[in-house]
Amino acid sequence: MEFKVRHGNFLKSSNSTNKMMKHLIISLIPIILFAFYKNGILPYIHGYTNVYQLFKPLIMVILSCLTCFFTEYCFYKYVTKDHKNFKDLINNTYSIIPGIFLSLILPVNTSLLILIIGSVFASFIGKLVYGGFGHNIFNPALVGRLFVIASYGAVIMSSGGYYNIYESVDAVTSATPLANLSSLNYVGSYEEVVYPYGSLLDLFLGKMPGALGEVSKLLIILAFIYLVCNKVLKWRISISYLFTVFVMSFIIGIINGEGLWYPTFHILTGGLMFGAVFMATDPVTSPISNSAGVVYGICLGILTIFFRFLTPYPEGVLSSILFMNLLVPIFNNYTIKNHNKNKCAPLIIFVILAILLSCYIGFNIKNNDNASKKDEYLQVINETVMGNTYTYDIKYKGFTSKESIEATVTIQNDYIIDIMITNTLDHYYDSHIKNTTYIKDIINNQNNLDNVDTISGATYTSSYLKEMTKSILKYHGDKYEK
Amino acid sequence: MFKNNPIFTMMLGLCSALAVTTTLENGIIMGISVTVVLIFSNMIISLLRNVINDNIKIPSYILIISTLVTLIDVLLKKYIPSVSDSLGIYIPLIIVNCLILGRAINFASKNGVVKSIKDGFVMGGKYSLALIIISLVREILGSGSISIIDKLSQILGFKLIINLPKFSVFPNPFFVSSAGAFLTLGLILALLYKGDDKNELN
Repeated sequence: MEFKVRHGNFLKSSNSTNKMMKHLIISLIPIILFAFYKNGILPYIHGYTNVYQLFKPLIMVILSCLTCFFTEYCFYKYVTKDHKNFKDLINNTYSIIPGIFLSLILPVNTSLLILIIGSVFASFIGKLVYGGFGHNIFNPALVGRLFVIASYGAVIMSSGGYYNIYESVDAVTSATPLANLSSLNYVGSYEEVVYPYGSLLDLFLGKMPGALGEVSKLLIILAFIYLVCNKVLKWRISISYLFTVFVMSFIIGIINGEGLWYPTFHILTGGLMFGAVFMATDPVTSPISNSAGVVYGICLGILTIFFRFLTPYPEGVLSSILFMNLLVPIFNNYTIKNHNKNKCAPLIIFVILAILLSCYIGFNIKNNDNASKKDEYLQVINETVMGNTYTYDIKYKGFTSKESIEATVTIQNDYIIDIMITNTLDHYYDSHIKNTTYIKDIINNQNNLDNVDTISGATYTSSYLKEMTKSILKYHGDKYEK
Repeated sequence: MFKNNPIFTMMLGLCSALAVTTTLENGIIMGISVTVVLIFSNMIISLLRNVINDNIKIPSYILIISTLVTLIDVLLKKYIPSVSDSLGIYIPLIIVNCLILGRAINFASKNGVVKSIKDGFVMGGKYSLALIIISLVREILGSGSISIIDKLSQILGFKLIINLPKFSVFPNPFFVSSAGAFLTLGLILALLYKGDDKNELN
């Protein structure tokens, strides 16, 4: 007897992948329009920009969609020789989805050339080399953003960072809310943490600096409700992710005497909400079953808190989602092997882990706060005075050891005119900072050093260089100013 | 040249190959060092192949290789300290480079002296070629320059660095980082194996 095995869609549901993607795009339209309003129309009305800047948000979205589309077109035409027509590429491989997402998670100051390179990278390295739609391990848009930030982070930051022109005019600080929080050592009063950016309601409505699509939490929540009603999203992942971050930052806040606004602030800032709703729930790169989804969300929350509090990177959503993408096969395998066993065990383990970690971070911050006296690393070896010009030979701490940066600083009329790194044991300086304009940026912004963004890949060394500039200015001021 | 290439087909010695190839010069020097070690270790091991007991094969090979590598390390430190600094730990790590041990076990312990020396030359040459290709791609994309003689200027007395024009996105520091090394290797492999389902390069 011969059996024929037929593969087919045996699920009785009207939801095809195609329909899901259509709903996804519909839910993103208000977010794109809001980005257009906030970064295009608003500055234009107030007369800060020209017509090109007015339409830049829309141009970014369309351009990155087109780039992703043509990357896939060229790949299927010239590399796999697998002819697909235009309609195929849109309807069956969803080539434009990474493009939309990538443009929405980049700041408006990204130049178009960088955006094109990022889109090609997202589409090709993030998706096509794994075998196209449905086979990718990582979320393509996040891979693209990682590439853009890792290679052109400094370029984007120097052209304005996350602030659009209108916002940067009357901004109090130039750091994003989370970067501000991390420079405050993670605790501070409501006035210090939230007030520079308005109020929690402003953060909720999207009146804050950030990437194109991630700012308006209201629209993201509406999109979430729309998608859940149409059964497109795995809502358990988003909810457990956000809930974990909320509870963990609540515990950290309680230990340090912060109110309920503190966890709310953590939920509302950065790309957390956008990541939780659109990125973590990507159907290809998230666990299949519901129970695994809950655990997945909890792990994402733990990792995000871990990155936000224990590393110099204040954001953490991108890294945690990419890292958890890597572990999705383990989640799926575990669910398949233990499908008829009790599913509570991993849940309980991770909940306990989350609570322990937040207690640890909370008490750690408290201790650091008590002993917040910083070590003084500056050593002045030699100083020469010629009229108005003072030259200091100094040693400062770098990433590798104390005294690992040796520099000659020239100060004229209380203003640093030159910093020359004479010798360094810090290889991060040689590899990441030496050939950039970082030192020049420091000199140009010496009165407002918080404006200078650290170089990714050499975060510690670049912040030590900033500290060095601050302390030599202070040393000079203490000595010669009345 | 790509057939039986230690890096592109056998995937041996990837650690040092990915770590040192930030500039072309580093790649060339690493390639030459490995080639020299490979030739001498192949020669000594094939001379001793009838003396060494099979049971203590690997320890004795490692001993011979580490002696040679230490010799190279000390020589580099004495005469070109800048190169020794920039290659850092990767010169001592040639000891555990699987390429050298692999050729010792698979070839030198079974063949005569002349054949083994020839094998050392060929394998070292192919390894150097792979390093040169990877480091050329990484340096052009990552720092926008081609440094042929930079650190060697200590003994040669002149520098030879070709600087390519820079514009807003071109020298992309991503390719100098270690992630860029993996990406470059992967893309080169994809290009070499393009449309080749049967692994004809093996």
